[in-house]
Amino acid sequence: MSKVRAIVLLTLVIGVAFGTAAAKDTPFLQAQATTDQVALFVPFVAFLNAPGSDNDIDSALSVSNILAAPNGIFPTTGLSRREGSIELYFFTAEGDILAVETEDNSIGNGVLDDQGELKAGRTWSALLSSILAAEDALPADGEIFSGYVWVVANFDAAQGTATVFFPGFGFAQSLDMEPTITAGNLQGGIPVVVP
Amino acid sequence: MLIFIVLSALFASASVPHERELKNTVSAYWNLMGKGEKAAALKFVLESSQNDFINRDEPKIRAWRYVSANSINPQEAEVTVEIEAIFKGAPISAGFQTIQRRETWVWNKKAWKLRVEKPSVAAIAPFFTGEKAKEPLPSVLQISPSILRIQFFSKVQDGRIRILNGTEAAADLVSAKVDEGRFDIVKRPDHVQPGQSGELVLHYKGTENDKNLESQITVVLKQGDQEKLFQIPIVYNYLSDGARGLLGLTEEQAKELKRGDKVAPVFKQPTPPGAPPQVPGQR
Repeated sequence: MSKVRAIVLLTLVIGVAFGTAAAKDTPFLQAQATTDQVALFVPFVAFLNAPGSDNDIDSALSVSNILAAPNGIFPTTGLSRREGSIELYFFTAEGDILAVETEDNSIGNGVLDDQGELKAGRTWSALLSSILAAEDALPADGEIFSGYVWVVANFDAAQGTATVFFPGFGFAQSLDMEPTITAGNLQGGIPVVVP
Repeated sequence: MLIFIVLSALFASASVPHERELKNTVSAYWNLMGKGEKAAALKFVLESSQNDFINRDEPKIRAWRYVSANSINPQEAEVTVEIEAIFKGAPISAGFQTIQRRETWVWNKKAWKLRVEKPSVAAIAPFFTGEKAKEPLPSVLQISPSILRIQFFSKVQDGRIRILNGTEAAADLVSAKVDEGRFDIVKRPDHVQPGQSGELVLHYKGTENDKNLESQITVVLKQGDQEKLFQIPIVYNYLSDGARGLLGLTEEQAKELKRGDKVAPVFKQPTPPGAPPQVPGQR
């Protein structure tokens, strides 16, 4: 089985497995109100540059600041930060960690401010390839970068998606960042408690 | 008004060469596609695109309508058609959807042929890289970011500063000074042209283990006779509060964290008062 096929299958398995787990109790820190930092889990991302073939893979991360919401959606107390930067923590398949924080508007779709902060109501999106390039972390041609990601949003509530593209297969898979908003758990991400 | 309409029609008809042949070919192609006769429609596809055409998923087409053709160059035209179709992946309850589809037709060996664009990462990149969303630089000379952070977890330990020149005059980099015991400047532009940006890259070469250490880079830029001084704070071995929260590290534990240490996210679920302690894996 080729690496590419293995990754496609792994994506499907992770998507199904995580979706099932998320429907039960989430083993994360739960709080009654949001904090000024929330975390979102991205089950899988991948990047592969395969010159001379059509096996390229890339992923797109999309993070929304959902604080521009109608009255009644979010608590009226406990909110403290309406906009902020976005931190990404990639945990690679090999167990290494790569940390990235937006600090200006140079990565992604150009919606951040000069300090790299995402305002309420906006959605920041970026290709994994552009994030890795900005960090000098692109793998060599033919080598796969894959793993999971924790997104830490420096504002009170965030949501997002991750889409993995396999253009050679004419295939893409979009994964919700977890936890998604549910009626019984009305929070935009897992509150981060700093020890 | 009538003259304007006639002139417009003449201009429009002149804009796409062999337009009658184009319209006839496009009609024949979409009539076959509408009947699901993809094999027969293959003859209208450029030879170099035929494999991609065969591998392409097709919607179930109920109706189609020719909308317009625009010349890209003397050999190529972009044709827009409106199709009413059911698409794979769309909820079946959505029924038939009407969309406009734009495709490139190429004048090849005295006939119009369809070029099928192969799906590629490059094709989707504009949606996520903001090439359209980014506005022109503000009409000032500035440096970004305002604080340069070099992540403790970065393997390369490089920091990038962008010189953004939104003015109408070129800017020369006169000097860039850092604590040379800790940083090397590994890339620097000599000039930044108007409307352009230049990248200055510095590398942290130290071995300190403390986190969130502070330093500074001083950059002098010159435009005409005027020199401008920029002082950018640097935070190196940067480990944010968010990272400490994610990894469950106190400030003391973070201080002890060494480069290359394996770390993993840590989650805690608070136990409600009076509840028995939770055992992992037990529900």
